Amino acid sequence: MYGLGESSDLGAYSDCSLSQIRRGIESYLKENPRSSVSFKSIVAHENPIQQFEFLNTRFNKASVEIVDHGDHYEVDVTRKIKRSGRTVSGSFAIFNHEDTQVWTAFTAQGADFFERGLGWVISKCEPHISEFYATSRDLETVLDLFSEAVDYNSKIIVTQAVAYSHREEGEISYKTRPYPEVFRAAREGGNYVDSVLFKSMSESEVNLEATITRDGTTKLSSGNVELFFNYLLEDYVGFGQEKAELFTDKERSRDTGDIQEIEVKFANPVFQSTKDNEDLIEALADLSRSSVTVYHKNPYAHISVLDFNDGSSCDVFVTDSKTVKIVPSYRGSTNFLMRISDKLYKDLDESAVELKEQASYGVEDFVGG
Amino acid sequence: MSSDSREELLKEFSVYDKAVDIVSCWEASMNYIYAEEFDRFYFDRFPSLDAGEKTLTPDFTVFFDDSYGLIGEIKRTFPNERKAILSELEQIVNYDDDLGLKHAEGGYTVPETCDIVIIIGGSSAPQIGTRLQRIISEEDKFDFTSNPVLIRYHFNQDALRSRYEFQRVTQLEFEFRDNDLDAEDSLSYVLGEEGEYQTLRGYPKHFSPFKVQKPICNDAPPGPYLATFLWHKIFPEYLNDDQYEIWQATNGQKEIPVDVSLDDLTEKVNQYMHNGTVRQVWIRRALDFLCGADLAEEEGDDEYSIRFMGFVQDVGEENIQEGSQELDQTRELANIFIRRYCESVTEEEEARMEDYEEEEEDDDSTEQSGLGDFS
Repeated sequence: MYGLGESSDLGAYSDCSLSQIRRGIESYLKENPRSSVSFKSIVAHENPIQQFEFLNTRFNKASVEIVDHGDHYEVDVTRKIKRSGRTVSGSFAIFNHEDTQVWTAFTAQGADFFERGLGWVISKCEPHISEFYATSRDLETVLDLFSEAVDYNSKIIVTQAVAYSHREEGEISYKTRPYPEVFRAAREGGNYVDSVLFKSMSESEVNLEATITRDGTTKLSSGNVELFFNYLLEDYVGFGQEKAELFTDKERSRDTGDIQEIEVKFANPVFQSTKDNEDLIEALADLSRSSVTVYHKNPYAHISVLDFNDGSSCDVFVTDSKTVKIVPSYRGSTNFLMRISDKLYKDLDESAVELKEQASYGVEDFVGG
Repeated sequence: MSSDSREELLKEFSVYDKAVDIVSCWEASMNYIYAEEFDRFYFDRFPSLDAGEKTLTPDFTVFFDDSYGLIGEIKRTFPNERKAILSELEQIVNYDDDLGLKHAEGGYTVPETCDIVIIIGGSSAPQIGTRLQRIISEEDKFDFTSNPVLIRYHFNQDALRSRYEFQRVTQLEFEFRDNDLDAEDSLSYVLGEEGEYQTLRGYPKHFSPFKVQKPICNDAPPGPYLATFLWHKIFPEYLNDDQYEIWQATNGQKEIPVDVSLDDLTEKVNQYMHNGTVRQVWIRRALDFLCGADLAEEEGDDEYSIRFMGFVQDVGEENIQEGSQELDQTRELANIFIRRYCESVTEEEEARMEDYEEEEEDDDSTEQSGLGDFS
């Protein structure tokens, strides 16, 4: 069950609970020190199980069976890959984080099933299900919070971190450093951190070895399972929920025609030249499954973006050197808005994103000498 | 078609966008400054004014209250020849009449005082103002009751704070007569002598919400301009879930036929704008442009079938350059449309598009010159 093997003994219980599974994970990792359990957190406004079941009617060569275990669902997936003809099969568990729109799926069945089984289910349910992203700052904060929660004397050492440049090709790898150094080095080098494999150590004992990434994927390699679930994962999905709230229900009102604006405010003056606007256009044009129209390019930019997933669209404006405004149309799904903002952060710069209320201006804003 | 034609179409696209910006700037500033002060304040972006035998369609009107209103006209830089200037003035003088302006309650009221604001671009605005002043003083037929107030616009390309700027051209001596308005900040004050001829500024952050909500102005949009709007904002409304699933699976590359009627499409565009009054002929022109670009077919009786698709991997013959030009030409929708049009348009289709331009020029209801070149 979920790839946790015989040691977990979960198969013996038809009504296994999440706490039993946590114990199963602990046993599994102890007995298989080179293995890990992979987690994928996503945003879904409604229970995603209905979408999972719907896959059976959409795809002939795939089967998705669901078992409701009360505090989580078991999802058994079998699918034949069209090109190679081989079959991918396995199961994962998925549960909802209380009072949030974030759900986390996990399995120990290896990278192949994680990508082509679990990952396939998630991707085929877009845009009803949305991936979320965590910025470098979010990842660093997760480690700050974890460090505070675990033990005053604990140390978090990055075993391996991968970072990418915002505007250039290339991957940068950092090894065996305290995590604040890694994030500082990335920031100073104009890079964003994509994934961090770390060890949390109290004195000489490792209490957790895990990976956190930008794209909602986390991995537990060894250590205290409760620490992982109760602290690391909860803090991590908190950032997912924050973004879900920011990018949900932001469509233009069909009743009144009123719009809502999402303002992405960068800490640095990202747009100072025509080239900077072109970089923005390039980033949006590079977004998968979408199309752009450029209405105005210099010095202010106005670009329209259409999403092929569900017909969502929005207008994107550069309104000053630090600000991009995203104005969703009548269709403006969370999935679409999340994809756009993630792309802006990856390709341009990272800093806080904030929702702008409909501004009110007076004569002093319009008149000057 | 030649590369000159392509450049011309791109230029028309850009010129029209600027006109939309300028109207949006005025809508934003007038709304933010005055809407709360006057119960029936209304900025009409698509005015159609009843002038007896004629219907007049200025670029905007502003109803403040019973005592004051504005009729706005965005003009190309005025010509040099006296005869041509007279012709422009003869069009503008049509607005010097008791014309009912739309107010917030939906009806039309003739304000006690109404002025005409003429917005022009270009560095020769002072000379134009001087010439207009001279002609109006000399010619009895230009004995205006409304004040024709001349405003020059300029796009300040400050990279950090780019904005449109509007200033009164004082060589034409007529001023706004809104002094009797119980408004804290009258146009006559801020743009007049008492306010030391200040500048009205329109930042993108101010006007972008208005431009998004109403992406066209009261002039016929060039075919490619309206076509991009239809493609991104209106045609997606016609697709069902199954068709989106096909698009997801094919990265938008699968062509999906979308059947539209002119009536329905016009209605949808007006719904999009909320109280929009887009003219059916503008929609037809955009659809005929798409036919010329081999992206639509007329099925007869005002019905069209659109070859709706994504263009993500659209790569043209000219995709041999590097850098941003490559991006523009191969992945940006307006460029894709225009390139396809220039490659595919037939003589018959081209003639039809030319007819639209001629009809526009001959249209008695549009008492204005074209938007022309915003130089």
